[in-house]
Amino acid sequence: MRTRNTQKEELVKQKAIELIVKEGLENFSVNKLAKACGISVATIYIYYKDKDDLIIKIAAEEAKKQTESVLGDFDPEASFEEGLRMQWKNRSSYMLQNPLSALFFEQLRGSAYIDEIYDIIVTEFKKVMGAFMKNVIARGEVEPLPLEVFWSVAFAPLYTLVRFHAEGKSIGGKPFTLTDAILWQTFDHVVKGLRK
Amino acid sequence: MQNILVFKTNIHSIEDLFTVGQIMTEIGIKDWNVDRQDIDCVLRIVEPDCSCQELIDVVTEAGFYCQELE
Repeated sequence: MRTRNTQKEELVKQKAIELIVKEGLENFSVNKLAKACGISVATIYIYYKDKDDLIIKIAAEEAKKQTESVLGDFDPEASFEEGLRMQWKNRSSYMLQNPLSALFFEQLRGSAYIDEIYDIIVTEFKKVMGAFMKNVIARGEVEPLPLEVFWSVAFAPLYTLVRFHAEGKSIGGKPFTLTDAILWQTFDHVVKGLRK
Repeated sequence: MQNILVFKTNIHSIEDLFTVGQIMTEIGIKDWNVDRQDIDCVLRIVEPDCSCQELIDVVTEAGFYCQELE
């Protein structure tokens, strides 16, 4: 009987993310993963039914980790600026400390796997952020806006800055490092743009 | 802790899968799948009531290649 080994399991998850980020989803296989971990293909099949099951389970776990990290200490009763500031702080910290995670989800985005993952991520966010937005609009701090309009102004700048930082370059190849000063200067403009 | 057996096979097509499905039903195995995306067409069986060799026998009798995956 083959038994589970938590260390091996963690190694498999970590290497899977690394491989998918480095070589893309299409080039990913259980065989390659086994070689990268120095274990047998059979061992991987103890933990996962097949390649799809592996990818979905790993993505789901990453998504849950990220959601907990971003929403964990978030207070939906906070004022608009406080709440958004906390979101920016949590999201930027998570992405900067887990660079592979963001790139991993980039790989998944165009794939068939993403719909299953969205269900996991979106439900929690909808609940918490939904409550936050309701409060903020009720207080008259922000106008009701279509979700995409709100998100594009509230969060897209943050994701862009993080991407520039990950690539080490901004517009036209200009060298770039994200600093607190730049992050919060951008944030101030975002808040100004959204506040009534 | 689940008992899981994995085999290298040549179960490629949907028809192959259907045939194997019938075999699994006959021997009473409910939790199984084949990863046909994998180069080894891995047959994975959870909590089999029969032995590894019995499984190999019954799958090879149906005309497939089946070897325990190391």
